[in-house]
Amino acid sequence: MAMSETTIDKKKEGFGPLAPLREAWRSFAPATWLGWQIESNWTDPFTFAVFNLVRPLSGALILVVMYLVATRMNTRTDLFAQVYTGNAMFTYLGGVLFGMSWVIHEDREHYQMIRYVYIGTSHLYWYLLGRAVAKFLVTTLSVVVLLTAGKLFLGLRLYWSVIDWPYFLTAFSLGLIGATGLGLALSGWMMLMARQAATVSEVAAGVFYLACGFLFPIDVLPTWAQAVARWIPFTWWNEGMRRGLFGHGNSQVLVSLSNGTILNWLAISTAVFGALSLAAFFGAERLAKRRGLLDQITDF
Amino acid sequence: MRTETRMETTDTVAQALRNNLRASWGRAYVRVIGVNRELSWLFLDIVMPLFSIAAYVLLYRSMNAPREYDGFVILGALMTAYWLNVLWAMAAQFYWEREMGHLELYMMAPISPMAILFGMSFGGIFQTTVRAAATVTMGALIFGVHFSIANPLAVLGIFFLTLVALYGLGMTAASLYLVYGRDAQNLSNLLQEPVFLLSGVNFPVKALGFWTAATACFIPMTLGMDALRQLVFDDKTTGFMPVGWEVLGLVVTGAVTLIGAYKALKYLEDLAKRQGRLTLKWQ
Amino acid sequence: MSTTDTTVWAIRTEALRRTFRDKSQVKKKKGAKNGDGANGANAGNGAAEKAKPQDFVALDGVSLEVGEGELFGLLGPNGAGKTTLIKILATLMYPTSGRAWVCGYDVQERPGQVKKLINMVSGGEHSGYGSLTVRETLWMFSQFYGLDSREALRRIDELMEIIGFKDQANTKISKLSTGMRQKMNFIRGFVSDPRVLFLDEPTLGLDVGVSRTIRAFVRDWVKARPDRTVLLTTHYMAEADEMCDRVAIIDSGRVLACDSPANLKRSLGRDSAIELELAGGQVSEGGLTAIRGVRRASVTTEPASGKSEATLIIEEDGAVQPLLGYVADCGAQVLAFRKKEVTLEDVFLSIVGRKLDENGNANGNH
Ligand SMILES: Nc1ncnc2c1ncn2[C@@H]1O[C@H](COP(=O)(O)OP(=O)(O)OP(=O)(O)O)[C@@H](O)[C@H]1O
Ligand SMILES: [Mg+2]
Repeated sequence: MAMSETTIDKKKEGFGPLAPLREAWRSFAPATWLGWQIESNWTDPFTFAVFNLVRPLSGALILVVMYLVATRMNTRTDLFAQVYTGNAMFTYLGGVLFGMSWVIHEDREHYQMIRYVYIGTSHLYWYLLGRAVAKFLVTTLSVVVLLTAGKLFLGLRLYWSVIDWPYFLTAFSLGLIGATGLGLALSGWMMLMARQAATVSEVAAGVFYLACGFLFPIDVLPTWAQAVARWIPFTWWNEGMRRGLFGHGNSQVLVSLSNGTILNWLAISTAVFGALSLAAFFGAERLAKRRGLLDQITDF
Repeated sequence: MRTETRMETTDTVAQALRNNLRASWGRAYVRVIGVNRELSWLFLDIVMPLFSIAAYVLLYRSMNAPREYDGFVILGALMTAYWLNVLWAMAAQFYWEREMGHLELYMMAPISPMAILFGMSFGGIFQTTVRAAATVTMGALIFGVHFSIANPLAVLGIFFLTLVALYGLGMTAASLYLVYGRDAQNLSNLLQEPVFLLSGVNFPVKALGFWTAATACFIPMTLGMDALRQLVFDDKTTGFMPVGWEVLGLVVTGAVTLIGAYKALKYLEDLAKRQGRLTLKWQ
Repeated sequence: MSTTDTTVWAIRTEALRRTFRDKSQVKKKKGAKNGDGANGANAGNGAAEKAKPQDFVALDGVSLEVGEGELFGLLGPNGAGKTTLIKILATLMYPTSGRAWVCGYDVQERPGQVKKLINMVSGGEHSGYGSLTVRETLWMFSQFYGLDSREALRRIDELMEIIGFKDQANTKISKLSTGMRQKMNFIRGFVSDPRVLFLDEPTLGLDVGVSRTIRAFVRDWVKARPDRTVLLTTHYMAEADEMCDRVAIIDSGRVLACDSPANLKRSLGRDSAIELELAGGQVSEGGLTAIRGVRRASVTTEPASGKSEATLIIEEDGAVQPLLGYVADCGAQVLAFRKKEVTLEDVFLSIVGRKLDENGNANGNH
């Protein structure tokens, strides 16, 4: 593939202050492009539909039916809008986590490209970031489909005019940074393990799905879990996005906090989380190099 | 070289049966003993479903659903475990067995390939039961789910019938996947969430409306879960059909899928021999 | 099979033919499946090939007879049809036409009987489940042959001892190196004690020491059991020469010769083999064979050093003089000149017209 042909070209590398950035771009851009090709499966409409339409839609419909049987109300309620949207937004977190850690597994085992990324241009994490961007784009597609379907067929109470765009977008992007950081950390972990590429990120995603109020307010969690949740950026991400989208959140325990406070907590926890994730990633990578694990292959 | 009369070796039925059972046990061994050696897998296999149990139970609670619904989620998680095992360790597995070159070795051995599928089923049921039992017990304890089983024998019987039908379907799918020839992974991925939705994994299937629910009865899980929901929980209003009909449905599905598996395997074998497709590797 | 034929061959084939759907189409379809955009480049010439949907002939009228107790070799370049032939005999593939028997049973009509008598080992095979140990894996495969567990384990231990694999008995498959896996595989073929054993490049990817052990083992195994037969494919000439009672040379699906290695070598008659080491110059195969008395020629050039090696089959010693003249005319310097004992390699070159290299590629023109 394209990456394998990228070798260090002494002339182009240059010096100057922008050299590292330029080099980073040379990993980032092709990785995004390649990731887009792989993630979107454009060449294979069947696969594309399975992963980006059928599975997310069916998953959402399960929740719809659960809501209907449990509440015996219709879907034109705030409660429904909160559940449905929370689930849709979770697709981003799940997608980025799974996508980024899967890259390590897939590249290492199927395309065996990781080593070329190393031999080739700059740092691995630019490559991973590129793949994360691709994953983000593809996920956006499914989220749009989910929300549109909700709006059209279920009367989802999500109104353009109510959305506080600046606030929503700020919260949304901060959360994405957190998700990407976590994705990096998981990728680092992946480098150290041979198998279970999928499972580790699924476990991580599962924990956040439960703890951070994507589906139900953190109010229903035991108090100790609520305390933990307040340390995780995605809890604030959820509350922030909800306030941006609906004008209010769904959690009673967070209701007294102002919009500004929510954003602050989101920013602070993201910074802490991001720093820890980066440290974990670099640590894991160093360890992987030392142990010679980078191009290990598992067979089943 | 020497001249010799052909030695005709015709097995008696008992011999043939014994040989095939040996083969089944050989194949099942991998799952009964081998797979359980990876303790970290075991742990993940038990914990992952607990997450989804927790998510769905808490969602129900946040919506003030009746308490039986917690039990529905647990029952759903149990069946989901078997369904995933059928999808990945039966249907898709055969596809991978071919890629590993095992399929060739099975087809070359003096046994029926059905014996291998039986072995895979038995091993898969064992493997899943160990994990699902742990998950269900923990889930029931954590969320204080109350089961009221009046007739344990009927419950066990229906559960067994459901497994027969499920793994029969898995055996059929194993061959059909290969005939279809597309990447097995995609198919199994496709058959996850949509099937959970249709078969009523977290809710009484009745909620989908008559026609959808009736269609979903082609998935053995639907009938099994609906019958079990009626027998295991107090709420008697949730059933889609009387239990008796569902038992009949399961028996029929079980028989059809087992015969289907045999036919599909024969067809696959013939196709593979004609096209030379038993291996993908170029040798 | 005619009823008057009282000899039961271990293996017999009659005008065996096997075709596959046009290869380029098969490949094209595969490319589309994996498709991640990178395969688009092939699309252009695919259309041209599609215009002539032609069947690809893998086996073209193969008739062979292998006696009981024989160690029979199939020697041929990549794609010659060796594996295809074995698959048909192992009941894994139907012939397009023609018939084949194993121990007198028609492979197509009585596959059940045939399966009881055979086993197969292919080089580069990746069988076994990672979580089982070597001993367990071998036991598992033995169970497909109706073996009593205790007897199976006894044989497994014995075989592992002989092959020198005992230390790995309790190693998990996932921890084995490729060579170790191949050893295990090899043992798998013998555990069921088959009457006819197919070995498809059994030493593929093994180091010299292990290959030697395995060859010696196969030879001893057949020798000690006069009613057991081994059909071995290989493209290592030395392997065929050293091991086999008889060898069939096969190319493009046809059997070109079939005899004992000694007879095959003798068939070259007065022909002798010459090896030349050359430096510089542009010696071509065409040029060499144009010389009177030179029957076959094969030249391999090492691009880095510019040195080349030529192997020639000459009919008479009188050809040597003009040969050296031609080499000198080409501006090449003769580094070494050897007249050597005829090997199977020379037989192959003489019959097929090309030389077979280590990897099984038949080289003609480079
Ligand atoms: N299933 C198949 N579909 C299409 N073509 C095939 C198939 N199997 C084999 N062939 C083709 O038939 C020819 C003979 O293949 P075969 O594997 O028998 O060769 P071989 O002598 O074993 O070669 P090698 O030394 O490489 O193992 C090859 O050209 C191969 O590409
Ligand atoms: Mg071959």
